Amino acid sequence: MISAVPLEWVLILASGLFCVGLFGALSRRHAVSMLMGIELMLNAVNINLVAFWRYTQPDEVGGMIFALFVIVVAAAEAAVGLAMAIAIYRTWQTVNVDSVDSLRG
Amino acid sequence: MPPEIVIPAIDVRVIAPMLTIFAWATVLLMVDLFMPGKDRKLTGYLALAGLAVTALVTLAVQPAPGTSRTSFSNMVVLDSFGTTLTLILLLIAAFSIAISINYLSYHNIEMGEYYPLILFATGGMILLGQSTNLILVFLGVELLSITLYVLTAFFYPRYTSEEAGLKYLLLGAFAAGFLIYGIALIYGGAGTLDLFEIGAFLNTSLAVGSAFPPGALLVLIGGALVLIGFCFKISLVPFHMWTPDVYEGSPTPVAAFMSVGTKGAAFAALLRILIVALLPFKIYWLPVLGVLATLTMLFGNIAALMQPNMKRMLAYSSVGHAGYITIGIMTAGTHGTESFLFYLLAYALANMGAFAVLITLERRGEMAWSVDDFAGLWKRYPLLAIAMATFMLSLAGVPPTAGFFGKFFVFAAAWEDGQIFLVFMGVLSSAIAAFFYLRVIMRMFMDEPVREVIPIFNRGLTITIGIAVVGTIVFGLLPTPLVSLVQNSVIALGVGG
Amino acid sequence: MDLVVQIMFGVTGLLILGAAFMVVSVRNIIHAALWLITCFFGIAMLYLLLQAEFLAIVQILLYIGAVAVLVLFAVMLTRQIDDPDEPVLFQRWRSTLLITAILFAAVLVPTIYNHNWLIFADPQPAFAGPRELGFAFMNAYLLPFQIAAVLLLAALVGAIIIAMEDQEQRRVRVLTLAEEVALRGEREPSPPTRPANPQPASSSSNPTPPPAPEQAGEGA
Repeated sequence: MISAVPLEWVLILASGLFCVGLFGALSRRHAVSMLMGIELMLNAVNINLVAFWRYTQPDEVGGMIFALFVIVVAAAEAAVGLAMAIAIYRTWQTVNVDSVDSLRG
Repeated sequence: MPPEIVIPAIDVRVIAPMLTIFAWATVLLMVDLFMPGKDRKLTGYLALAGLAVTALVTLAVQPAPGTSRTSFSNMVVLDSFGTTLTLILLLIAAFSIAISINYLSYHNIEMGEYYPLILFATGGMILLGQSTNLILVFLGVELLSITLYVLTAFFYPRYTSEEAGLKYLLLGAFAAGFLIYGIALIYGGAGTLDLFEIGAFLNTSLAVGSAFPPGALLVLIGGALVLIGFCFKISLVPFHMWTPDVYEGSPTPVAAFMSVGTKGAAFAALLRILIVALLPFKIYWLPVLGVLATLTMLFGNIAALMQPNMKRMLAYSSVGHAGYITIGIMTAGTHGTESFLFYLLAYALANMGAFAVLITLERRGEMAWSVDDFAGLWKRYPLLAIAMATFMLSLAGVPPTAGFFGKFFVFAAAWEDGQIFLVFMGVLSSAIAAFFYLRVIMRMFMDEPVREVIPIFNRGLTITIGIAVVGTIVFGLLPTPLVSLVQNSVIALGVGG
Repeated sequence: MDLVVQIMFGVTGLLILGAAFMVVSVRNIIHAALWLITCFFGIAMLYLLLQAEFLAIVQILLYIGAVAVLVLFAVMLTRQIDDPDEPVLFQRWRSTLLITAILFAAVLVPTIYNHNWLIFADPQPAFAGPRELGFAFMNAYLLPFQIAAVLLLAALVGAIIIAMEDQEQRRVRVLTLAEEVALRGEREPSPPTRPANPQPASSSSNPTPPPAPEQAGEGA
């Protein structure tokens, strides 16, 4: 059924999503937006893993398991990152990464 | 009828060190809750005890020379390389906690959770040094990184601390994205996440003869992305830009811990990936690492030249040292791992000592680690000046110190490998580096004091500085025992055996 | 039947990429978060197409239920939703766009297309439901499972530490060394004692103080 869709299409979709997320993480100025871009990158990885599992190793669970670990880590990272954004806002009254920039030299 | 859960045969000895440290950290987290009062020094001492227990456990389960043990479906390996690395990492963690205990209360940032977090990060480092599966490498990197993001932002009265935490987190999470995208591509190409199996896959598929057999190209691109992810963690140029900011903003003991511990663990994991899984691709990664090492040594040391701020100077110097360690791991395929481990220990002693001296001079409520504070130190606090001079000489690689032998072994191994150009660049950048290390010494011994400094001494700092000085000099004069220790530390290249 | 699957895949893919593009480009950050939810939802649909039903459920529960809501909370708490004076992107966005496009078009796509995939002729519907995954977690993947638990504990403790509201003893500005010396009267302070706001004047590497350091004497 899914074999109607070649594996390449899914992988191209995942790499496109990765690159969009990369662009977001690199060029948005709002810290929360940057975190959203990183979440998109991690989701692209998961699409890759699930596609590899489905097309090349449907009888093993390795890819699925790894995807679950990626979700766990993404959730942990998001929790710490958003906590940090809130703490930054309390001190600086902004979360723009451009403005939060006193360390130089 | 569901199948019975069959727990596979587990060799607990393989994970005993990290099991001990994780269990200790979790229990300590709860013990800390029930501790009366605001004073959290006892938690710190308990964490030190935990590190000592872990070291004893590590020694008790160490494998016989030349053998290794694997367990948990070959996901972790206990070899002599892992054991030696674990001991070095435990020493680094013990130094960091010893210099933290009074630092936290002095700067009014004392919270009991600090110590379990350090233990969690150390456990993640130990895991990185032992894992032979990319899932565990990923989880180890993340465990280490997430705890360090928190520790970086720990200095809440200082607004720069949270800024440093945010910068570190954004770049670290970004690097993690590259790391796992690369791991996913390797999984797609090789069909496995096990380092040994990836190595076997590459060997068989490259032996067929065609330029790029199915899967190998994917593993190559995936390996490149994994390398980019690691370059952020070990701050190789051009992925180093976060390093000085993060070190300056974080609490000084955490900066010390990060500068040595993270590098040691991440380099160890990279070493294992490179020589266990990707050895057939050595023709590709060797020149890439050579270019990165050259850029890192030159740029790190040149940037350190212009720093008036000691903490940033040490950050750039740690970037430079990452370049030398990279040379060490480049030769690991042929000369074992001894130059890497020796360099790491020498660097750990000198760098932890230098950060400890920085803590004695750190001013409360201010953000200055100006090199001016070191001017004329010899006239007022001669012992402190001598200690700092020892560390600077060792970091510069001047003969009677351990740092000299560290650089010597790295360069000798590279020379035997035929990497003449790298040795040349290494020596050149060491000459540049000597300039700013010696400038600190000159200011301490020759100049008049610029302003009043009141060093803070306490037991933890004194002991740390003392051990670091003694170690630096003893290993500089008598490197033989250490050399034989690291020469016997061999990476397991196969399962069991 | 094949065409139906292909059309479903195409629609899902367009939904995912379009939503992702909106996430990185819209100005209003609440809208960006809502587009992020749309994107996560599209990915869950893709997982259903790939017959990874359990993962699709996890995707909805964890990403939409937890992460996206967390993002929305953070946006609400930081109250910096839409400032028309602030540019959305960095100045350098064109060069990042270029780097990203090169990575996509010159590295990833050729790699994927040059590859001779060893695909099962007609991959059987694989069953990786909760039961198989649970057995795998308890067998081959026991150690990563435990490490993930440790990681979650560390992240939990860390997030609480970072985001904890100011209590009495937090953000108390400690005296600088010079001020303490002056208070004790042990000796004359070498630099003049500074007022309540601790500007990093002594740090030569810190020319620009941040806009609003809140630490000045608050709660002291």
